[in-house]
Amino acid sequence: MPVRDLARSRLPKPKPKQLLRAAFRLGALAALAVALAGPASGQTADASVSSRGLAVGEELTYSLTLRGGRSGPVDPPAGSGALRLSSPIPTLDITTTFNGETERRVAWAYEATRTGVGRIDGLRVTVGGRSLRVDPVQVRVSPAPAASAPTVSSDEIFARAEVSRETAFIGQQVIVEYVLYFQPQIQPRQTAPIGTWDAAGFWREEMEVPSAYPRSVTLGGEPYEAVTIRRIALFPTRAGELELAEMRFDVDLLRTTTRGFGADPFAPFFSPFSSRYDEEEVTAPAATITVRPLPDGAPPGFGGAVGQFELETVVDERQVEAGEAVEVRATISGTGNTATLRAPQIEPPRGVDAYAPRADREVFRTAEPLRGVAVFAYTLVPQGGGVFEVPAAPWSYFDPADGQYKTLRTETVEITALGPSLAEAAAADPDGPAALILSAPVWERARPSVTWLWVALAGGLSLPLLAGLGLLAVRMGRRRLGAASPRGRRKRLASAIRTRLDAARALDGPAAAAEVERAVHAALDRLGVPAATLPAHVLPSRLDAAGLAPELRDRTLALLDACGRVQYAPGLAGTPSASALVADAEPLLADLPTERASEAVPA
Amino acid sequence: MTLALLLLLQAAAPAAEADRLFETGARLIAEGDTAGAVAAWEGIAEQGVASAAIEHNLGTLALERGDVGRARLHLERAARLDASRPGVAHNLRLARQAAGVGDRPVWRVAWDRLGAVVPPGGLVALALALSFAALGVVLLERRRLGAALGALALVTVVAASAALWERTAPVAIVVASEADLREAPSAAARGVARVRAGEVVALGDAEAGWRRVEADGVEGWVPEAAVERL
Repeated sequence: MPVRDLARSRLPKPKPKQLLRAAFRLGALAALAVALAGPASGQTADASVSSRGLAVGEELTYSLTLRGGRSGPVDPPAGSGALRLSSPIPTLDITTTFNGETERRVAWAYEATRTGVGRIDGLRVTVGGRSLRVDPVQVRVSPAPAASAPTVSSDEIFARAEVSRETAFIGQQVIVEYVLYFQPQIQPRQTAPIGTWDAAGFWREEMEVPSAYPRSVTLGGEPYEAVTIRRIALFPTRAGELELAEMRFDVDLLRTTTRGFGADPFAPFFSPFSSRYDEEEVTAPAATITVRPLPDGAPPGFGGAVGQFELETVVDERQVEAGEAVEVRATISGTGNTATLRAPQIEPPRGVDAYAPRADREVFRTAEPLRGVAVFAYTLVPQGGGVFEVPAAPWSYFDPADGQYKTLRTETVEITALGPSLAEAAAADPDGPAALILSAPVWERARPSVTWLWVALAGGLSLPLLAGLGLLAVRMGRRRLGAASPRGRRKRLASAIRTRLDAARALDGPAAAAEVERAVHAALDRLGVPAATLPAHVLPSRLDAAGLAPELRDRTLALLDACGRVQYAPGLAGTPSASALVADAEPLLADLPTERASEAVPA
Repeated sequence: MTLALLLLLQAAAPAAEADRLFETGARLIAEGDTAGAVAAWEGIAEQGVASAAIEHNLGTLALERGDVGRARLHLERAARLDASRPGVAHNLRLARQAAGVGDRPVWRVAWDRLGAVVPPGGLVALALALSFAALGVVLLERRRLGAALGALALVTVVAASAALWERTAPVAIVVASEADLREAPSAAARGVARVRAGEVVALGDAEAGWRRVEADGVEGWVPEAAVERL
C-alpha cells in the first residue's frame, strides 16, 4: 500500500537557536507547559506531503496532524527553493474527536514554481500545552509536467476487507481488517456494523482495534485517510474456497466544504470552510480465502493445534503429605486457536490418583497475530508415601511457517510424598487391606499343565475298575455254576426249609401245619425220598431205605401225621397246636441228615 | 547325571531371577516407589513361576489404587495358590466387596483351604491309592472294609476331577473398568451386555484382538485386553 512520506517528530532534541526563538515566542507559557507536561507520550505532531515529486505548476498538499490535546493557532511554514505557499489560508483545518481521541488536521497548498529542490520549513507547535517541533520537508520538482492520469476513486468514502493471507491451512490464523478510506474533507466520527456477518467455515475471534487515528495513504494518486474500524482473527475449520461475506457499516461523519465568498468584502472576517454532519452506509466487499488441508504425517495424539506455541510446566508443590493434592499446570501459549486446544495427556504413575485437568483460557485481543494462553491444571494425589515420577507428556501441533508437525513435552515432574508407603499404611489400618508379604516366597510353576494329571487319574482308575469288574464277573459265574451242583442244590433246599419254617411261625392253624409239612418234605427230598408224592404206607419203608435211624424215622412220621391232623381234623382231641408243630419241627429238621447215606439205594 | 544336573540348573535359573525381582520389589516398596515395585513383581510372571505372596502383593497394591479388576484377579490367584494365609483371604474379601460381589461361599472357602493342603496332584494320587486299596481289601473277602474304602475312593476321585477341571476351565476376570459385550468381534457391532471390573467370565475363542466370553449366560465379544485369565 503506497504511503506518503511522513515527517514525524516526538519530543525533538532542543537546538540553541530554536530554544532562543521559543523563549521569545512562548516565554512563561513554555515554562508552564514544561512543568505540567509530565510524560510526553500523548501529544504528537506529524507532517506529511501528498507527493515527494511533482512537476512545475503542480500543487501539493502539506498536512499537519496534531494529536493528544487542544492546539493554538498555527501559521503555515514557509516554502523555499522550488516551492511557494499558494495561500496562507489553510485548505483544511478540522478538529475531530474520534472514539475519544482529539485530533486536528491543518493543510496548506504549495505550488511548484521551478525545477529543483523545494523545501517547506519546519515549525514549532503547541499541543495539549506541550511544545513540539516539526521537521522541514523537501520535495523534488521536475521540469516536465506530469503526464500520468491517476485512477481517482470517485468515492469520498468506502471500506475494504484486507486479509493477512489469501491462502491458509486448516486452523491457521488469518486476520481480516476492515479499513475505512475517506478523502480529507470527510471526518468520520463513529462507525457501526449493520446486520449480521457470515463467515461459514471459520472460527472467529474479535480483536481490538489498536488505534483510532487515521493514517494518510494514496490510492490511485489521490490522497486518502484510512482507519481500521474492525479486526477479526479467523481460524478455518475446513478446506476449500471459503468466502467472507460482505460487511456493511453505518458511518456518522462530518463533511467539510469550501465556501464560495466571491467578491464578498466581508469574506476575510469569516472562516472559509463550512461543515455539516452526515451519515453514509459503506459496504466492504466479500473476500475469499483458499484453505488447504493439513499435510499427512500427524504424530499420534495430534489434536488439531495449528500455529506457533510454547509449553511451560509449573508445579505448585513438589513435596506434600501422602493424600494431599499436587497441582501441575501445563501452560500452552501461542498464535493458534486457544479455544480449541486440547490438554496434554499426562499419565500419572501407579499410586497417584489423577483428576481430569481443569482448563483456563485467555485470549489477548490486542496482539497481532492474535495470541492466547491455555492453562491446564492437573490435580494429582499420591496415595502413599514415596517418590513418584510423573512422566513427560507429548503435545503436538502443526507449524504452518515451517510446514511441519512439531512436538512439545511437559516436564518430568518428581513428587515426594511424605508419610507411610501404601504397604505400611495398609498394615496400620485394621479395616484396610492386609499388609504386603515381604518374606521370601515359595515358587510354583505358573499355570502348570494338568493334562498329565488327567491321564494319570484316568489310567490309574481304569486298573482297579477293570480288576473289580473282573472279580465281580468271576463270582457271578461261580454262583451260576454252583446252583446246578449237589452242594448248591443242598444250599438252595436248606434255604427253602428255613423259608418254610419262617412262614409257619408267622401263620397259625392249618396254614402253619401245611408250611411245616412242606419243610419236612423238603428235608426228606434231600435224602431222595419224595414224601409229597408217596402213599403214606410206603413212606416208612422208603425212610428206612434212605438209611434213616428208626427213632428219627418215627419222629418224622409222627410230625407228618400231626401236620395232617391239624390240617384236616383240627377240632379233634389231642390235635397239637401250630406252634407245637413248629417247635417239634425245628429239632427234627436239624437232626435229619442233609444227604442220603451212601449205602442206601432209593427204590 | 549330566542331563539331570542340566535340568536342575534350568529349573533353578527362573527361580533365582524371580528371587532377585522379588527382592528388588521389596526394596522399592521400602523406598516408597510402589510403581517400581509393581513393575518388578509383574516381571516375575515372565519367569514362568508364581507365588501366593506375589499375587497377594500385586492384588493388594491394585486394591489400594482402586483397580478393582486387577485386585480381584491377583487375590483370587493368591487364594488358589495358598488360601491358608489370613491376609490373602481378608484382602480377597475386600476386593470382592469392591467389585460388588459378596463373600466367598463356605464351600468355596473350604475347597480353597483343601486345595492349599492337598494340591490337585496329591488328590489324584490319593484317589488312586484308595481305589487300589479298596480293590485289595475286596479280594481279601473283607467286604465291609472294601465297601468303605471304595466309597472314600469315589469321593476322592470326584474331588480330584473337580480340582483338575478348575485348573483346566478357561475363566477370566474383567480388568477393564467396563466393557461392552458385542455381537461380533468389532467395535461397530451391537452391544448385548456390559461387564464391569472384577466380574468373572468364561473365556471362549480369540479373534483379531477380541475374545468371546460368557457372563451370566450372555455371550459376546470384548477386547482381549479387557479380560485376563484367572
